[in-house]
Amino acid sequence: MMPHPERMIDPALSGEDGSLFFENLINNLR
Amino acid sequence: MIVTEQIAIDHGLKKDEYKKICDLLKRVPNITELGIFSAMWNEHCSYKSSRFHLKNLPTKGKNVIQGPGENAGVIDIDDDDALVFKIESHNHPSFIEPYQGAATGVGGIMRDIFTMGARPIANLNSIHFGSPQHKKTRNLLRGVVRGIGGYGNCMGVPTIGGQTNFDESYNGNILVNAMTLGLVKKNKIFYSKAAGLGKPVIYVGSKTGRDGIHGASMASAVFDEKIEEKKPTVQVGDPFTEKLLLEACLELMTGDSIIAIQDMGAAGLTSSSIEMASKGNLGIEINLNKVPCRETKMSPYEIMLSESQERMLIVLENGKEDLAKEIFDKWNLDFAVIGKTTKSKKIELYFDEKKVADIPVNILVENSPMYDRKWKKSKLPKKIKIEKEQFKNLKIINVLNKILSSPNVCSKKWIWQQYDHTVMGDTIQKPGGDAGVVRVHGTNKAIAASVDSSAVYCWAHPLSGGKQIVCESWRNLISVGAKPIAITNCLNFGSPENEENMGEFVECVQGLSEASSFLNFPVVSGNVSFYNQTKDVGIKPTPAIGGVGLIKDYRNMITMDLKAIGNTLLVIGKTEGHLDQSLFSRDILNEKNGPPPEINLFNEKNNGETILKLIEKKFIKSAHDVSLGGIITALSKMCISGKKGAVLKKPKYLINQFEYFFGEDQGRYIIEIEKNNLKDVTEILEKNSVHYEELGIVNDNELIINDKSKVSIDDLIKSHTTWLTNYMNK
Repeated sequence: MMPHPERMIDPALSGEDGSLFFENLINNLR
Repeated sequence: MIVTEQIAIDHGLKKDEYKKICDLLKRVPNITELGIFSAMWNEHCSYKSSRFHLKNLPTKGKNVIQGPGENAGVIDIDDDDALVFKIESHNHPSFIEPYQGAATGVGGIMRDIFTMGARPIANLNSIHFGSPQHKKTRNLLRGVVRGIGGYGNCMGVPTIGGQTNFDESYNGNILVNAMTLGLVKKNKIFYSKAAGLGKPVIYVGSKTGRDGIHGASMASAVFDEKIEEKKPTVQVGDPFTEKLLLEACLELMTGDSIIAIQDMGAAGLTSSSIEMASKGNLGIEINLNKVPCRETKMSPYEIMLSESQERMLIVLENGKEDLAKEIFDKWNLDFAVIGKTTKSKKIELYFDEKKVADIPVNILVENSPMYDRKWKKSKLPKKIKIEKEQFKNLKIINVLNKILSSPNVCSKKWIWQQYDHTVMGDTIQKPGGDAGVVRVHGTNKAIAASVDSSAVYCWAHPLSGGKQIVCESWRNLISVGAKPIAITNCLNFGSPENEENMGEFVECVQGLSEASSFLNFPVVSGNVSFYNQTKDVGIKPTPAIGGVGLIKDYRNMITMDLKAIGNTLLVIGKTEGHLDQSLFSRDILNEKNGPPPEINLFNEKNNGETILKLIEKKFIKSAHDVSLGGIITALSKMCISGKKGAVLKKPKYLINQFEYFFGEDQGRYIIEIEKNNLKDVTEILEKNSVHYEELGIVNDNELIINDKSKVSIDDLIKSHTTWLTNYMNK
């Protein structure tokens, strides 16, 4: 299965680890 | 071809039914018309043996927007939101061709949901297979699971729960029941009732092929040794086309172009056109030359009876054809204006400029046969007296390990890990718990859903079994903190022409009816699957119940995993040690007789509602209902989920430890609370007259029943998780 960081951005789902991916992406684009 | 009585019989019609057709038409039907009658009057489409009894089910309630009779049931879930849901069987095709049978079962039920304007948000399934030792079981299970995953995953809809059972009564007839939930705004629900004269009838979706011809008739017949020859009657699914069809339909539904919409499921173009006309008290005229076909030289008979998948029939407002065509062209789907609504109240078909069918709609629908079949009442079996000797050599931990690793209790992770259960980003309780839970996107609300069956109880005493399964569904929803709202049912039985099978159906429906009335848990949709039978041997009666509930704030959702060492465990509901028909009795003592556990609907409701009060007050840390395998099995699953142990108190009651720990008395839950809340919790329980007892406290990593009986959680996990994986890897 492909990793799905977008499905790990909320503690109510399965955790927040995926947020790191998006935060880094945004920070690097800035 | 001139139609004869024998040709009618070959189409699955009875002699007297064929005579009735000739009498009503006042002539002999042609072959296309006969095909239409055989499709509309078979058991699967006409409910001819079940309608008489289904009318007794409670179908109304404060939250019910649409009960049975439409593509799916609809309930109010507060604000502007409504939930559309239904369960449906695809048993016969799945036995013949497990991958496509199961896949198209999932595709069909999702179409039922988005036909009503709802976007599917979750799938569940209930699947039953023969004995694990039977030569076909492993491959059937593998094919069905791949089929369910293949279709649901490609559609991008999470599969959030289900159940899998094994029993030798399914050796020749497996059960594959698929359930889907969809979300819609209350003011954007679409129905199948045609209205207005001269309105264009539109065909959209995939092209029509020769696959699945007479699929509905095949699903209304008993299997025999020639069953493999029926492979061409199994439909072939394409989830990627269905995804396009979903998006195209929902896009068209944002406007006001659609008058009525109906998916082409069982009996294809036949049932969809006739149902729309019948509900609108109109006629429909169709030019079959305009139906998009993917094979050459298809006859009117084949076009009308094809069950090619991913197709819809729509009645549009006049002048909206171009707008609709633009949408379907964009999604690369076929679009054709194939006919119009008429005042004739007939289904009139044209092909090569000739009229090839001309049948009054009321003859096909209102005049379809309805049978009050003979049925045999079942007796409550006598209670089995289990001698003390039978317990003498048993060790409680050995029994527990055996039960946790038994096919019907063991972890089904091998199955659900093949399903994408997190796609859409709203699954907050995944498979493996009491119920799957998905958030209503962008709100704090969540929907809980579970699917359950208990064929063994229904087989032992259908009335009690029918009640029990509704209660089990109710309990599973309560256990995750949801208020149960409504159910959908899939009633899987043997031949209705057999008095015993028919009796099982009638009494199970009575049981369902009593329990759902008492619990205010109405039936809003469903399906009956008869003839789950090979030659003279029918399956155990297997009503599958899909229950749905609402959690007003998803942050209050409860899971079954034990949370903290030192917390107190309570058993809610009275334990009397009922072993007859329990897993312990059947698998350990090899005793298959006796009555199922008694259902006390008052206690069931009272216990469940009180648990919801405790959840509302945030007293409950984890909860799990007590079902198959009794208290110790339920507690072990909580330990396994939370990777924590428990130290149990000595039971107070004058029953032996096997009766206490493995008895399957109903209406019970295990709850975990903080020790300092014990007084407040017990006060609420006592005030509500709910029976409870202290079971023990949460421990580090061992389940300690007494000084002699203890087991590490790692060992419990091993027992619970290895059987299915090992079985499938053989």
